[in-house]
Amino acid sequence: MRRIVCTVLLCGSALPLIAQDCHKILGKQKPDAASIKQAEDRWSQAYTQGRIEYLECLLTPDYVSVSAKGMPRDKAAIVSGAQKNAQQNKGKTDGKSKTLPDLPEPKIQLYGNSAVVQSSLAADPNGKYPAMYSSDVFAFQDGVWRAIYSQHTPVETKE
Amino acid sequence: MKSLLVLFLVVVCAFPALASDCATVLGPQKADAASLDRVEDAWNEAFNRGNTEYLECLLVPDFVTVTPHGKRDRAWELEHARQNRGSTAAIPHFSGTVFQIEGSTGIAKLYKPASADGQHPATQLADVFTFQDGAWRAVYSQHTFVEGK
Repeated sequence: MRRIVCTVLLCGSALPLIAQDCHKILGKQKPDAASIKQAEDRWSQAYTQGRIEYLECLLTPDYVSVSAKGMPRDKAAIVSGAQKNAQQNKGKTDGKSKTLPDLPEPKIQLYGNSAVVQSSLAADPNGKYPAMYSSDVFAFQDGVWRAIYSQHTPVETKE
Repeated sequence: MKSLLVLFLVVVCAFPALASDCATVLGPQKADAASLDRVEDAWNEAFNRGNTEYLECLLVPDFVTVTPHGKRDRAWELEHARQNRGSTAAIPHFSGTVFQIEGSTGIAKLYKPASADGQHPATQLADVFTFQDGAWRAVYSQHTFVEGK
């Protein structure tokens, strides 16, 4: 019984610590477009550089990303992908590490504590990839933006 | 000057009236999955029966749907709903919607299998909502075809 009480107390006191750590990791934010933009930029960097602790704080536990092929990937899969990036980038100079392509300025829909970031990528002129629409959905919780959902849609070209 | 003042008063007084109209049209709601489930059904019915009054209240001004064929804005949604006025065709219903609620943000996610006639491929759909002034408002939708299904 004593062990259970200790476990409960430990868990209870650990939670605010985790929350505090995440506040530190995610940085000071406001429920505005500038903070969302900053979160988006840091997310891209964290994913390519394998900053797992940032992704752990940014993505809610039931975060899902639907890929361009329509396959849902959960938080664990995204974090695992970032870990692989970190391993691949180990020892490489900044110039050689994996980076995401430069995207045009996204459109941000902001409604109170809800936000949708819409991005679009033009088709590759050599036909390597089609045009793509992507979205990230955020919720402002406890003073920070958390990513709750993403989806990618390739645009079909008429033959 | 007097007419300007009258105009200003009319405009100012009209806003709460519009807002309360939408509260009536959308009905009493809570920021929970049960309310969001009812809103999804009501949206489906409003679109298929041409109830644009409901859609005008539900869809935020910059609402957009992203599909594999391109983007559709609020005006597209209203126009196509209008074309369904008077329709008695059966309204399609899909089970298996998953609701995700994070405070005042809600997402309805649905995997729609390919149609039996092969005309429509399997699709992942998501509708994103925000809870404002006591009602869920639709902000954004996205459709992605599922490869190989």
